[in-house]
Amino acid sequence: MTTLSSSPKMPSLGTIGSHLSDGSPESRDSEASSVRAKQKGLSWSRLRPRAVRYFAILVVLGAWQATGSFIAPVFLSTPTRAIAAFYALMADGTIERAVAASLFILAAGIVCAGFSGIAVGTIMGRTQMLERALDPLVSFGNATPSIALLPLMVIWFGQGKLASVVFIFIIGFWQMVVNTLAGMRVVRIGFRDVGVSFGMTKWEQTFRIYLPATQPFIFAGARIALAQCIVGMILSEQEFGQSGLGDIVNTYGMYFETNKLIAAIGATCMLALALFGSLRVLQRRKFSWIQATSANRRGAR
Amino acid sequence: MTNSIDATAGMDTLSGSSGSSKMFDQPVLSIRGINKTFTGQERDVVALSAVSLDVNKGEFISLVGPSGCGKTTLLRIIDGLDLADSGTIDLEGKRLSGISQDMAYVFQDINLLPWRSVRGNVEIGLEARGVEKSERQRISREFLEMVGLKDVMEVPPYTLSGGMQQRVGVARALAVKPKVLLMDEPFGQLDNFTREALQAEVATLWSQLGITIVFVTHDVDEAIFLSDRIVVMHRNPGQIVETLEVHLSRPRTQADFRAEPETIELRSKITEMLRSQEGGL
Amino acid sequence: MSVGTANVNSSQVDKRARDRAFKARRARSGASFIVLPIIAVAVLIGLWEILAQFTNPLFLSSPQSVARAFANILTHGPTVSALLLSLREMYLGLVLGVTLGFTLGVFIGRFEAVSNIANPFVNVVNATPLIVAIPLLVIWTGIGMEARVVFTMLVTTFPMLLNTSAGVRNVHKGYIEVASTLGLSERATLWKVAIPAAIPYVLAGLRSSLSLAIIGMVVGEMEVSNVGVGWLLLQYGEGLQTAFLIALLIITSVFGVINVTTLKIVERTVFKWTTSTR
Repeated sequence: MTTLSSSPKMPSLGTIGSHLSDGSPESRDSEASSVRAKQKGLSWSRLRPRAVRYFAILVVLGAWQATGSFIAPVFLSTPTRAIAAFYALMADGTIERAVAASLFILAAGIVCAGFSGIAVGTIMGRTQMLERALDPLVSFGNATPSIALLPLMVIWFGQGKLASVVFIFIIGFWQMVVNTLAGMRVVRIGFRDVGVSFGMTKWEQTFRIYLPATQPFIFAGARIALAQCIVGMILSEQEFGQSGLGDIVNTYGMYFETNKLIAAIGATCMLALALFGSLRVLQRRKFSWIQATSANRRGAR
Repeated sequence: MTNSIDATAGMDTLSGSSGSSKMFDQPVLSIRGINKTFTGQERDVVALSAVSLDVNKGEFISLVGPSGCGKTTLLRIIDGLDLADSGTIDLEGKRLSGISQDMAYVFQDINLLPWRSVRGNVEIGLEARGVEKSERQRISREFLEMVGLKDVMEVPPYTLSGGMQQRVGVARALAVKPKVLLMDEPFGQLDNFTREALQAEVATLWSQLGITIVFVTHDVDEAIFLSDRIVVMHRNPGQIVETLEVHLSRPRTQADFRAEPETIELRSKITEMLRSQEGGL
Repeated sequence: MSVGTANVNSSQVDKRARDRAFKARRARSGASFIVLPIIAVAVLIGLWEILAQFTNPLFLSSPQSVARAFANILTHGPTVSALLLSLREMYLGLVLGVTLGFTLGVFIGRFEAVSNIANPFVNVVNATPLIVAIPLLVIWTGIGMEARVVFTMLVTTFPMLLNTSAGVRNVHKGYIEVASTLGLSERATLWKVAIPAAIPYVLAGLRSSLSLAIIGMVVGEMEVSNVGVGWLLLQYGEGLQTAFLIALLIITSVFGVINVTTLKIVERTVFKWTTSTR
């Protein structure tokens, strides 16, 4: 998954014309109208984008069903068959087992990666000498697609769960280090003097000032790490023949069971969405101030 | 033909001395009954309330007031960047709707396009009007020379100082030969010395080109130095308090104008008007 | 290399003199930027060499073996052509993906209606690990170049799409107002103002796409191939040829570094104005 740093939803270019029709600064007006809409209940103008969206989804599903019915089912399947396959797989527990297996190695790898990555990134960010010494190495390591390390895992650990977990760990670790370090650098510029002037010790500074301030970067890194780790998870399952989502996807592909294949892809998709969603919820719950202070400024005139 | 002020007698918030000593044609801009309210999360802000104003051809008129008094909003409404809730604006007798191509705007943030050279920035308005290349280049050169930037025509804007960038902004606006030039606190982000230099340049350009200028500022001295008339505005609700005429003879110099008795009188009058509103909040 | 004085009088308005002094000061402290990493690398290689004496060469190999493997690979004709083939496929997928992503991104950023419709699809597909789509691609096009190129294309489309649409959507309002007050048509505003203004975002997207392209290439070849870098990596792994494996990994990283550096150079020259602060 690709992620962007959060940016406020600003009026699209399409509103050049609407400059002339509603006049007031967009940010104020749309907020006001949405506030009013919530109070009044649902107004058509608010409903419309959602309706269009659902309609579009229906159109796509319809097109899929239509084309899928005409060409050989092995190529596209159809929504109906895919959903049927999905239910069947849920019923006999295949998907549950696959998800559990995948989630197990993913969680193990990524949690370790998270903590150690943040720790190393923080240490590097706070120790100038270390940072300067290791920085080119980190950049070089970052340029290596961690995915390519898979065969090395095989040599070291064989083709087992341990290999997968370590693989995922390495992938996540790099991302977290790089992003934490980047965040530390930015934070340093703004906050370097604050801690010192308050007479805090280096430890206090790190935990009270630097780490909290680096949270946005850490979360951004976590999102990227999650995406890459999921890919690593699937890849290792496929190459090692382990049970899991990657494995069943492979199997269904090999046997041309497109219905089940698409169902499994759908399951993976849902898992991924759930994981990213939880990350977002975590960020919002624990670190809601990030949203509030990031660039969500209103234009004042 | 000094019927400009008389023609507007009896309009809502317009006031000023009768009998102008300047020779102006009929108003080039007729602004009538402009209302504008911004709906906010907590409360509505009445930015402009029944604002009416006449701007005479070739005059230099300033809108002065505290921040939030609606002077910038009014300027944007005149240009068409924002739309009023009600009221009308006529340019040379024709009702305006939408953005007017006969007026040009100089922004406080300058807003030069960083991917274009200085010259490219000046020419973009001409491109929009379909002016062909050699003519565009001639015009851009002409106006860049006028603002003293002949030597930096091909450089990227980010290499220039703030003052020079704003000069480009002015050249860009003038290049499209507008009937009215609208300037929104154009020197607000510059330091004092640059500001004074640019004020003098604007005054010179104005007298050379004979263009009508509507100028927004919160700097009273700046308004006095530059203008024929000063419109003092209040906020909450935004409206015109009074319009004062400036009779200082031109050309005016930074050094001399401050000592003029009229300057001192105007300054204290305006400052008093502005201060009284603050106290009354 | 002593340049200028360490204390530069701030009243000296000459910008060039100030720049020179600043660069000189930086160069002196910058020595540690070069020296320290060199020391660190030397230390690491030294440690590696020592470790290699004690451990099974299977696990870590040794700097010498890796160096030899390096030379071996680069002089072995078939291997080199396999590498070049991989690169060709990667760049093909990259170009297709970037173009597609940019085009879609402009539409999505420009027209709110399009953004509305496209968002759910884009978000869902973006969140899914596209690797699971490979078996489906194989069903469609069989095991071969098409599947790999399409996969790389899909993978590189999304960063470009997301970044471009964000860039077009978030154009600095002042620029749009300049365009409208000077009378630019909507189309002129899009092409002459919005898209140039979005370039910083587009470049960021390009950066992401570049790194994803390499990943796409490697993964694609691990899954769907009997040639190329990914497959070769698997071969070395299975054959327990650690030295060759490490050497090839380093070569892959070098690809990545070349890509990123090229982009940086392009940014600093063609798009110089993006790197300056307003």
